[in-house]
Amino acid sequence: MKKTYIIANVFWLVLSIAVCLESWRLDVGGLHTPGPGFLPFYAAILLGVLALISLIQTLKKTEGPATGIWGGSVVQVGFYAGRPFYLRSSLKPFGFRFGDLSPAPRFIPRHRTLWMEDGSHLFAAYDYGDVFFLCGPSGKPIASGLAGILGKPNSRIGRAYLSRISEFSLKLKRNV
Amino acid sequence: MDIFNQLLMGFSVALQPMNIFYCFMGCLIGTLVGVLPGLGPAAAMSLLLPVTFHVTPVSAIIMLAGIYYGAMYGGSTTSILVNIPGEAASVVTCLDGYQMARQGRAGRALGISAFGSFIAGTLGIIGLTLMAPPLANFALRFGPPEYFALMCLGMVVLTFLSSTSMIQALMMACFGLLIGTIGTDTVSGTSRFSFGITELLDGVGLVPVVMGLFGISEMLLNIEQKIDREIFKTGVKGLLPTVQDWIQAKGAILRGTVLGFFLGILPGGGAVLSSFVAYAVEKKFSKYPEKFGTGVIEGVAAPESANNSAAQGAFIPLLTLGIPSNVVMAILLGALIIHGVTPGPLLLTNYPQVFWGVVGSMYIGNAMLLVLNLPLIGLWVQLLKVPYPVLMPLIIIFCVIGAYTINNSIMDVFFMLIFGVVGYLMKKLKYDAPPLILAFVLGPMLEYSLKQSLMVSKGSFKIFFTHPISAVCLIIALILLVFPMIPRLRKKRFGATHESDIG
Repeated sequence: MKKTYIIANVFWLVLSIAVCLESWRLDVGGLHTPGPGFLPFYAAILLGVLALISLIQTLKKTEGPATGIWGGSVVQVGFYAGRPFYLRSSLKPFGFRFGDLSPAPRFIPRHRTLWMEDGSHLFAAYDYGDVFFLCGPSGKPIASGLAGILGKPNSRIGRAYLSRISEFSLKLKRNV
Repeated sequence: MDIFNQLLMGFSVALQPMNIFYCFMGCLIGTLVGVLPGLGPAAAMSLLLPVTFHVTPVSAIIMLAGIYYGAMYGGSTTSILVNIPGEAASVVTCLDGYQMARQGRAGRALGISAFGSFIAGTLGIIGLTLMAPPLANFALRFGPPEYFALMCLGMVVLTFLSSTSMIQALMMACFGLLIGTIGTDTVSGTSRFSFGITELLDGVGLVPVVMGLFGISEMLLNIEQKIDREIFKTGVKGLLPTVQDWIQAKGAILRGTVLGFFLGILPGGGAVLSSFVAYAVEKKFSKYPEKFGTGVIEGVAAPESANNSAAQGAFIPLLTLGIPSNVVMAILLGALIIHGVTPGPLLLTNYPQVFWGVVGSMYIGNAMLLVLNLPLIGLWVQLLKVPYPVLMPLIIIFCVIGAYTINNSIMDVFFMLIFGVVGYLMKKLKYDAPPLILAFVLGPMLEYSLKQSLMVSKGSFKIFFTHPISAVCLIIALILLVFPMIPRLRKKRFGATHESDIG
């Protein structure tokens, strides 16, 4: 299957290059006066870029779960490292649950991030403990509402996560 | 009160004998293609498009619309009795419908799906009647940037909802755009990508593309697999749901209706999406979600209601904005244009008889479908017994004849066969066809409005963001594009979260 996808993506790449060349000949024109080749040219470029991404994904893919576009250990490490700082800066203005919707940990498989996430929560919450009062210990504000729209708040992981957060915030409240 | 006057006028159009006949034919054919697995409303409508050429635009659209919502009714029959979805929007109905049939409750499952469809369909049309005129009025203020943004949003939503990789869906949308550019450029008159073939100067026709991608490719796939169609042996009786069934299902029907209707309006949405969402929502609302999948009546009522009201809701963007929200609407758009009716906000004022006639016929068609589906269910079951080796060649013959008769051109037949092979390969490699079709249909309009906007703004892209409606649409589209790049959320696109994220 991998081989087939490589061939397919190479086909799309070649097609996009061919269309680009032909559109160039037809006159792409500028933004002021878009020529007849305008749309095909940019559509073909987009197709080519997508095919390239898809090709790279296919080449990188090993048996097992698919990795995201921005996968790769360097990026992951970057996000791991940046995560606490992100939370620190986003918690204050946006509140705990909302600030928590940061993209960072969502790039990385769940089981590998739980400890990391808690660590960064701790780190951020230590600085901004008062934020927890805003969301209440076990209330279900915005984030769980969003979780309800996006996926499964009642899944095992969802429940575990929410209860963990509320426990955590209770603890912090007492400390503060 | 104006709406009621108009609606009465619509009924007077729809109740003309010829229109009643076409409405009936549409519903009948719709039910037929709905019942038959492997042939969906999109293929059937493009197949029958040439048949409508000699009738008035109203009759043509009435019939084609009838095929669409008729297929929504028919699809449930196959799902419930054979456990194979008759068409894509009935996939979820299989889950509980077939289980009900196995428990000897096939009749009640069929009954509730037919009644649910009827209620949802009727409420959907009422929604269409009330919402379309104000929306069309509003849409009069739309300029090229708004149209461009709306079309972009529609395409992005469709790729976002595609069941496979979003990158692949986007690639298909680009490919569709490219196919759409074949032919003469509307602004400069230059011929593009026509390779000296005269037939290509006018572009590739919609009908050959749709018939190839949805009809021929499906037949090719069916050659590969031996579908084991074991029709449920026990007789279908007791079609009328009991009082208890009604009590159980009424919430599901109403929720399914509302949800389906609004998801139907959504660009890129439609019947398939709404049936999935309705099932998921019903499961969440239910007091016994664990029982879903074992033959719960709500599990049949909700998706069936949702797909019917979505079928009606989907007409709103087409008839008021001229923008098709899904593949079937794209074909209807093609049909309207072929008949010389320009869809858009002016449709209501310029061709009131078309708009209100079609709306009126929908009320009639829904009632017809109830009659067609309940007492005649035995007939449809018989139909399922027609062996595939007989059915498939027949469908291919109809496709070839259909493609030829549009322009009496053999080139169209070749195009259809080429796209049949392309569609087959796409299905094999899990590339989605709907984004391709939508982009193909919207392509020329998109290009035109893009060029217009750019000329108006003297080459500045700011124009798309200074107009509030287009800005909102483009921002939503952008969010949807970025969203799935986040792997943890990507799985949730179709609510298809699995244990994988638990790790």
